[in-house]
Amino acid sequence: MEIDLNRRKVLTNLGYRSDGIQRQAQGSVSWKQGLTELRCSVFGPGPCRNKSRMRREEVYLNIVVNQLPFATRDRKRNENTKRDRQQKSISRYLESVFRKCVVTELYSKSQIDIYIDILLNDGSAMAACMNAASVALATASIPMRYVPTTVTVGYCDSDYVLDLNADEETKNVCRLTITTKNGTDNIVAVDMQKKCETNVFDQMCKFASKESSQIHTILSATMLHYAETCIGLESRF
Amino acid sequence: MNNTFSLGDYAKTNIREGIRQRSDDLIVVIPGQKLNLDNDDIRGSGIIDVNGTSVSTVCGVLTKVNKLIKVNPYGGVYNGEVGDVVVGRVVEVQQRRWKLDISSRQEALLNFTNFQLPGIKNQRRNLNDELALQSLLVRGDLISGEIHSIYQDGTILLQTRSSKYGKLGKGILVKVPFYLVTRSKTHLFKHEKGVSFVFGCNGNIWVYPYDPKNSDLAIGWSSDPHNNVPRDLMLDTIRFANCVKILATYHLDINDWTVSKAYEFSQGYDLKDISLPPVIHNVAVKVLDEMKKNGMFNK
Repeated sequence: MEIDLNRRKVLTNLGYRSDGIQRQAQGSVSWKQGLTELRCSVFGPGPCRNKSRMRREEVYLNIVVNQLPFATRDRKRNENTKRDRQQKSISRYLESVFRKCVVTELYSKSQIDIYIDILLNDGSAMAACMNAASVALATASIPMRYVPTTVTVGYCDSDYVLDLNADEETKNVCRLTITTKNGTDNIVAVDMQKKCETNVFDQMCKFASKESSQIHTILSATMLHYAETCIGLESRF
Repeated sequence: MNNTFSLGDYAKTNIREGIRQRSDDLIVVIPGQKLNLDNDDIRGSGIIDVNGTSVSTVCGVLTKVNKLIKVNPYGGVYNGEVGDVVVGRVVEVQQRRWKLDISSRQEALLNFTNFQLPGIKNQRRNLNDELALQSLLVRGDLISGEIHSIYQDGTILLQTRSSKYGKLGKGILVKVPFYLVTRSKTHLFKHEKGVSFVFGCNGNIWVYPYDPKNSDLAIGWSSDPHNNVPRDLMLDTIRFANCVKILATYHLDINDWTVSKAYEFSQGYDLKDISLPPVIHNVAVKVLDEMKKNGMFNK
């Protein structure tokens, strides 16, 4: 996992620059997790455009997950990729976590927009979207109580596997997407596909909590990289 | 993974080496990091209390001033302060006020009673004046003003109680990050080349040619299409706007002194070449050397 800083094209048709940063957004990140590649932009707390969704005590989070037509092997048509069931489940999962994570009482009557474009989907898209959105919110300087660290774990052939790809997800494998606080064993959200036994579920949760500290190390390094880049901008020459 | 690979070493080497110069003596924190504060320290912005433990919420530098400890983030949106000079665009005309977009988390309001027409002394506004003022500023116009007050939910109330502020005429609007515009006493600057500036604290910088003979209701040249700005004056205005963009690209402080220095160093280049990356780099390096010579980085 790394921030892709080696792209040659200056500006893509989505408005991103070659280092993955969208200049108009308050925070943006380009994220690769294995072969899964996505872009995330955060448009900071601004006036609420939809007055019926405005809340008086907390901020309104508008999360849009868009999978591009060339993201999977089978091409999907463009008009359905935002309202697909898979993309809606990812945005609902992100909203359930960030509603508790973001310090929302600081921005009453405001709106925070998070736009995620999945460029290449090779499995574990929900975990990649969550990790990218965490880094993008940190670059947008939106206060968060913790860093939500997400990891995907599966149970296959009497063994536990981590960070499944697209081939492993198509099999009849029970898989679990778990979000923890700062990579500790404090679980804040669980998303589960297929069935498994109870003790297998407990072991999967323990396994995911143990492995999420590695994800948090990478997320911390990415945020520190951003912060020290801002500090050292004047000493770049 | 094998035992020789250490994720902590990977995290350390991920941080670029050239950045470590200025940040060795600074404490950089990330969200969710526990801070070991003393009991009598006062928590400022960027720090919350979670189960009795102080935790940082933003990504930035930990700063301590006497008893106050806070985290200074980078970026974000503009939080207004009373007395700031801002440049905003009208997004809505209501019954008794205008709504302005000043790139903050709430829209700014400008009441008709807080708007002063240039050259007209203060008098009470009746219904006919309200109908006339609704057509004075239409959607899309630019206004410079100062912040009168800030409500509890973040709504900002503007005022233009001086002839220095008001409707902006012909010129160029440059949008920069708001933290590059340092807060100072003079945000309205007039260069000897005939180009004037409004350094808005919200990051909107208005560069306009100044000629008081032709101004009627606007500041500077009126937006009447029949008024023609002289060509040399407009070319200087465009060059000054590009100099502001050069400073913003390299994250240098934007004030009247740095813009004047950037204009001097950009005189050796053509106007059509001033946006090329080598020209931007050369001008920015020279401005940075001048800033270092004048002791702007010793704080």
